Amino acid sequence: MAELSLLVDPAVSRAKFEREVAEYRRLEHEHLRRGWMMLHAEYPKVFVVFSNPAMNPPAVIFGAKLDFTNYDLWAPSVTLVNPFTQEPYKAREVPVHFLRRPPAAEIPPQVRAMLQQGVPFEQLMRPTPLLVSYTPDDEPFVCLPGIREYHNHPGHSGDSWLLHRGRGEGTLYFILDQLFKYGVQPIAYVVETMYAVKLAPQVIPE
Amino acid sequence: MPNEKDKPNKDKPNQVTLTVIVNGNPTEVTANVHAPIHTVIPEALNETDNKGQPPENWELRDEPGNLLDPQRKIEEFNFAPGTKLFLSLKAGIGG
Repeated sequence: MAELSLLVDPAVSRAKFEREVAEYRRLEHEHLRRGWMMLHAEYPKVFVVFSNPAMNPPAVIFGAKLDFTNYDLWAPSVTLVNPFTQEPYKAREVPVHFLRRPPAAEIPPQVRAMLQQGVPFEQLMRPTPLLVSYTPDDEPFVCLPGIREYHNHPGHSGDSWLLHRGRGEGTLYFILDQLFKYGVQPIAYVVETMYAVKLAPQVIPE
Repeated sequence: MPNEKDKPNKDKPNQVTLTVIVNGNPTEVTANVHAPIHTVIPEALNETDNKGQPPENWELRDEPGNLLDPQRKIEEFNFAPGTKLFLSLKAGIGG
């Protein structure tokens, strides 16, 4: 599929785009309190910078560019970018992991019991990475229904966007909420102390 | 900011009006403080005409993003006047 081919009257996509941006603007104060900063919104592109206000000092985490070309015959495209240069991240450059736990119903009963006893999830199961790329030098994509790159991937040819369209996924808010939920909200400062043993002279002889 | 609707209803002291932001659209829902908070979900979806997904596909969070236990009673959360809750659609299986 040619990415730049126009399949939807731009006036239609633009009207839907502007409605979504207007909904965002209406709650912009609430979004800012969660660390979402929309710095640019002009059809068909949106640029949002995510920060984490729960961290002290607050931290800018990453930027995201969304492309609403052919919306909503196509789902929006999402590219994670450096928040200052707006350059797309390579997989190895993304500063955070987008990890997801399986739904509670899919966790085996014995694992669920151990979780209830306080055993950390990470010791029992491996979370699913939502940021996918073939190599560390590729641009990763967010592998979730409602995002164009997910639906365009050959591995998801059985899960067409048209099965999701109009059901709440693939909206501006939905996508920003997922980026926040998996990429920003779980992040906290962690102090790591490394101990090393080495041979060092205690008394230096003449 | 607290406003008129956040004040306790003298005629119906067990009722509270909550502001719920459903997939980015705000609405107000009146609920019984003794009911589990999940009872807010179907009403908020109905008010915002979100009928494409069943209530179990949605999750309720507070402003910092903490997931609210759907079985806890509304009164147990001690919501301050003007509190906004976020009802968000869970993403489908990916990764």
